[in-house]
Amino acid sequence: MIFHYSGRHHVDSVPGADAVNIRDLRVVYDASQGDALNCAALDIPAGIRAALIGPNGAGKSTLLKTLAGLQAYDAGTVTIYGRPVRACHHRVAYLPQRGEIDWRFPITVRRFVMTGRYVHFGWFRNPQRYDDVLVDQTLQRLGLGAVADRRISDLSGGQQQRALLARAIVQEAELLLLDEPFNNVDPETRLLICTILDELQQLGRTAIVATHDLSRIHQEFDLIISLRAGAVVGQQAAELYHQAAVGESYE
Amino acid sequence: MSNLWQWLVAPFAYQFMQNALLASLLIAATCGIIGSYVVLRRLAFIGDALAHTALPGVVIAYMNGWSLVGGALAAGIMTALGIGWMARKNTLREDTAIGVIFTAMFALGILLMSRLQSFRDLSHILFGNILGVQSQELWLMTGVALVVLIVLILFHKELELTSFDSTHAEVIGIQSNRLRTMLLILLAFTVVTGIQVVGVVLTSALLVTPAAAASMITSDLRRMMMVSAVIGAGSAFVGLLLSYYFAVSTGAAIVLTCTAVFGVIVLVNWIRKR
Repeated sequence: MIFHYSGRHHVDSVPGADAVNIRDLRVVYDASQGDALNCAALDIPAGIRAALIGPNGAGKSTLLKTLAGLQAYDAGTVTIYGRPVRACHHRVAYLPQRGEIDWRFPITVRRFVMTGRYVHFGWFRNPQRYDDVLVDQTLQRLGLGAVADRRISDLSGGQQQRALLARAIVQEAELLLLDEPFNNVDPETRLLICTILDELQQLGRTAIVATHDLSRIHQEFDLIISLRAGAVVGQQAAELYHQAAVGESYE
Repeated sequence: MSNLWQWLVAPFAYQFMQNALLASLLIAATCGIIGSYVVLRRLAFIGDALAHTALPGVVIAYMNGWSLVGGALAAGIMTALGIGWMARKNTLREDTAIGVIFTAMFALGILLMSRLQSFRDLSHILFGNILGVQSQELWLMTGVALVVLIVLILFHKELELTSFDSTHAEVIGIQSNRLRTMLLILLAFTVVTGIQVVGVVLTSALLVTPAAAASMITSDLRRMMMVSAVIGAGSAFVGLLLSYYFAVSTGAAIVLTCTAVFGVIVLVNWIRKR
């Protein structure tokens, strides 16, 4: 018997629905500051890798938090696979910026990654054999096998990011929201993250990644969404974005 | 050898020393366990506040002839709920709000106390009265310790997760605010029993010092809790003996023994790192 963390623990997605549909979304932190996010329409199809780009304060994090159900919104509708935000906690994994986690907490890397399985356990239930095996395989896959029993405080920036990704993988979520995963990570970690996102895409999963790093963005993503001052100012296929950028640099 | 044994055992020929030993072992161990969360979640100030706000509860209970422990518990739970409520409000910084309210509550306790003539009875609240523990109170403490331990075990993985990553907890549907309030209520229970041993003023030492010492030698929360409980209980035993043979305050002796253990661990760590 499973005691789920919330009443709405498993709701099937609407067949053929986009990963994300947003209509007339408004998020306001402070009325005098204007809208933190104001998005008339945004559709992200299932099974693609989307990049969110834009300067600091453009609303990238706010958008990801809204999709994760962490940020209440003031107007509009947001659906995830055709269902309201937070309708199914299994389906969405959120990888915060690394600063949001207390890395000094005494917990091993293995147990940290296991917290990704908790949504499947609910209250009072602990990991079974299957969960241990899955966590173990995922740690190996992300090159964390050697540090599995070390404290999370011993990890480098890149390893921390890989541990976060490992946790999202064991959660078996369909939509992954990554906030600045490429910040302060080593080149190998960056490559590994992109390879994993590629593999997840093969499995039909969707990834939305906020990033500052535009260097190989047209290869690493399928859709580029530009935000500025809380509004979506551009949305185009990565290949077109690349051509436009190359065109600009020739002018 | 038999002399040492005699030295260790002789004080506990008395019924009041047996009660004191059982109570202080139990309470110090419980404080050590929940104290691990106090240290890791930076709740030391809140622990102190919960202990201090027990004072008006006790005084009011005393004035009306109610159970003193009951009065302390009621005040502690009200404070825990109040802190949980303030955390959601966000108008003042939390530590500021707690600072304002707990000093006011404590002052109210002292004010009411000064209206009573029998100040002496209540000085036990300030500095503890472990040597005066009755068998009936011992049962109550055992009950509290059991409740605290069972709840901590049942909700271990969620309490652990919300302690270092409340964002992930929220995303998967765990309401970290409610867990926090639950933890504060458990803390109120623990603190009220801690007051019996070392009094209002020193209770936060039982919560913080053993757990801080344990945090320096383990890398896993469960192990930290066990080590912390052992340090707390060991210090309670040693402190009780010291207070018996040197005729000093029991609560202070227990706290200073904890501090000594902490100091030794800091020193050993420092030497090993050189």
